[in-house]
Amino acid sequence: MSAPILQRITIDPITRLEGHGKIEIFLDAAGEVANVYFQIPELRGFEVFCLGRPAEEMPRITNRICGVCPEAHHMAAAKALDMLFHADPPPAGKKLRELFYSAFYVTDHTTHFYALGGPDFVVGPDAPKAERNILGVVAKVGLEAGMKVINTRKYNHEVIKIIGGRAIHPVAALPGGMSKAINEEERQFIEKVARDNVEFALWSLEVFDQIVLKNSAYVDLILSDGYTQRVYYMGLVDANNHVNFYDGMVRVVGPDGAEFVKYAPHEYTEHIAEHVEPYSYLKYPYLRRIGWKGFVDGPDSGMYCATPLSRLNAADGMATPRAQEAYEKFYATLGGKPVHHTLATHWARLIELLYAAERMLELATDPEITSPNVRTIPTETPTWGVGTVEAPRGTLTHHYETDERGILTKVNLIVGTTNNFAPITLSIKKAAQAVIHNGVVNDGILNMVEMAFRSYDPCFSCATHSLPGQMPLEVIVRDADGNIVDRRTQNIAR
Amino acid sequence: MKTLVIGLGNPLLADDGVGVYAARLLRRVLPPDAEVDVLELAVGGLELMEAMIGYRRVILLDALWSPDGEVGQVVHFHAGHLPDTMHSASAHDADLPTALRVGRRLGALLPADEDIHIVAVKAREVLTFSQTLTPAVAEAIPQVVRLVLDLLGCAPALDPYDVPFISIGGWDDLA
Repeated sequence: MSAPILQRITIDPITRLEGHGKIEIFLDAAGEVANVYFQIPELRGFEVFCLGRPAEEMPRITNRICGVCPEAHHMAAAKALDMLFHADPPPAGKKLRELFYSAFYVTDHTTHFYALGGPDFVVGPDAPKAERNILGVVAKVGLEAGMKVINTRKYNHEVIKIIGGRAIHPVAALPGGMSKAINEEERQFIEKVARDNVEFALWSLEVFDQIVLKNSAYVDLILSDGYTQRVYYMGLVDANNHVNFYDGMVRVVGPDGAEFVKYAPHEYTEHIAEHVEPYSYLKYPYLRRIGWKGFVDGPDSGMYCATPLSRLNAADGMATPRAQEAYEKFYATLGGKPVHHTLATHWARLIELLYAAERMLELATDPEITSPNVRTIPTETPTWGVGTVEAPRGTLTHHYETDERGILTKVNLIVGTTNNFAPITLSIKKAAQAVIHNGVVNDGILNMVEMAFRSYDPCFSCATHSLPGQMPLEVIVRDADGNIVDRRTQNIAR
Repeated sequence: MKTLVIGLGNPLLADDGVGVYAARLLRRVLPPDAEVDVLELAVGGLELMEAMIGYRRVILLDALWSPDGEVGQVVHFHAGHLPDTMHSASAHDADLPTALRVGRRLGALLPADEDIHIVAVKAREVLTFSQTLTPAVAEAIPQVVRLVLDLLGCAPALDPYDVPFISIGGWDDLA
């Protein structure tokens, strides 16, 4: 019989505009962590909203699901429509999409590292909360760093606008390709931005090397047990098993690093199943062949992870030379493949930033990139289609089915963060186990849990919202009768 | 220098789109010579700060997630009160006050906190995909626009209460 539960600790990341999430930590009789429940609000009614609409609206509708990665939904939707309308884009259309997507990756990974993940390391995990933000990074690395971050965002947003047709919610990708090509003048601008991106990515890796890797305390933290879990890893790979964000096969490797399965995106239902917990409406995807074994790691648990770290683990290397060098250094430094340290995801993200920049430059200088032949006009009766890309936060899959008129009859999305619900829960549990002993809650719990969250760069609501602030957290410690005996908060307005 | 008005939110998420609809209504009723730019945006933090660069004054129109009893109320405050007023959070970016500090530190021309107004409608139904606003929130839209016109000190070309919602209600305004 399991030990009776003494206390319940609630960590409450309340958000006004992104809804209301909750973490509950249950202790056993000895005051040690027994279980962790992680709940977040889910947007309701997306499928119902879409059914009955023309399928070709999906690249514009789905890019409004998420204010953080509209470009990823735009691409996944367009790819699903290519298959649904049986219209394979011409090579220049695919290259233009990937060029667009590479510019998006540069902005997204840059923002995450400098505004969110980086502050924990660049400024330091023990620094006062008020300094652990992008301002703290600027103070530590210099004003020049801030200018580089802002300019990188600015110029890549301009590239996204040029190719995507609009700044925030792109419109250019259509079934069968793109609605418009780029001209030589635009290409030259994009090439210049790509060259600057490569320099910026190399500089960012140098910052990481100087500030994080040369500090043994930080390296020890990355390697610590509280941030280590041995799970399966998923990522898209090209024909050479190299990381690709836009296209390829889905490859999954085991905790030992060996290939477990490689499948085409439209076969996903054969390989991925979804587990439902009685306390939550969240669905936890897992590897069907292994099965759901609860929130535990190891080769017998079907839990898998889809993050920058996962993509590096799931591939045999990077398709561009400087990123490949960084990839080799990563594994040489962290003890070989695969790496199971979730905080190493920040480093993996910077390696992906370099790859995105190099790939962008390759595509911007491709002789075919200004070809006017960017679209295959659909002529066949629509049926069904699946489109998968690597969103910055994980493998993103759109699945649509229509009637013969192209009216949607089925819509299913597995968004990046959903893949990671189970490993995030396990990470929170491990972080809690590291700081809660004998019923005593260490002051570091909020920070530990936040750092565990942040390495995944999770998208809690996959929704477009506004006026973001710091993540508010609330820890409530309750005794056996439900009375509050301790309460810790940050960023909660009173 | 011009004032910038930004309608924030997602018109696919029911009441969350109220700021966007208000921006569209404002565009319809502004006199042609008004020194105002009107944008629809679905961003926060750094990108929102970047959109404000070069303006002397900015007015943000938004939904504010609130308890049931307050739905439809219109509130007005400025950016200096933002941290105390909102629980808003994004796991993907800096918060707006931090983004503004970064921009100023880097020498960007940004309005003072007192010149960044937030006019928000209290709303509840922001997690459901729908193009329909709850009645109390929809009714607040002309009131928001009147308040913005007062802030701008300009007389409308058309009374906001005379513009039917159907003419501003599309989820994607490609104009």
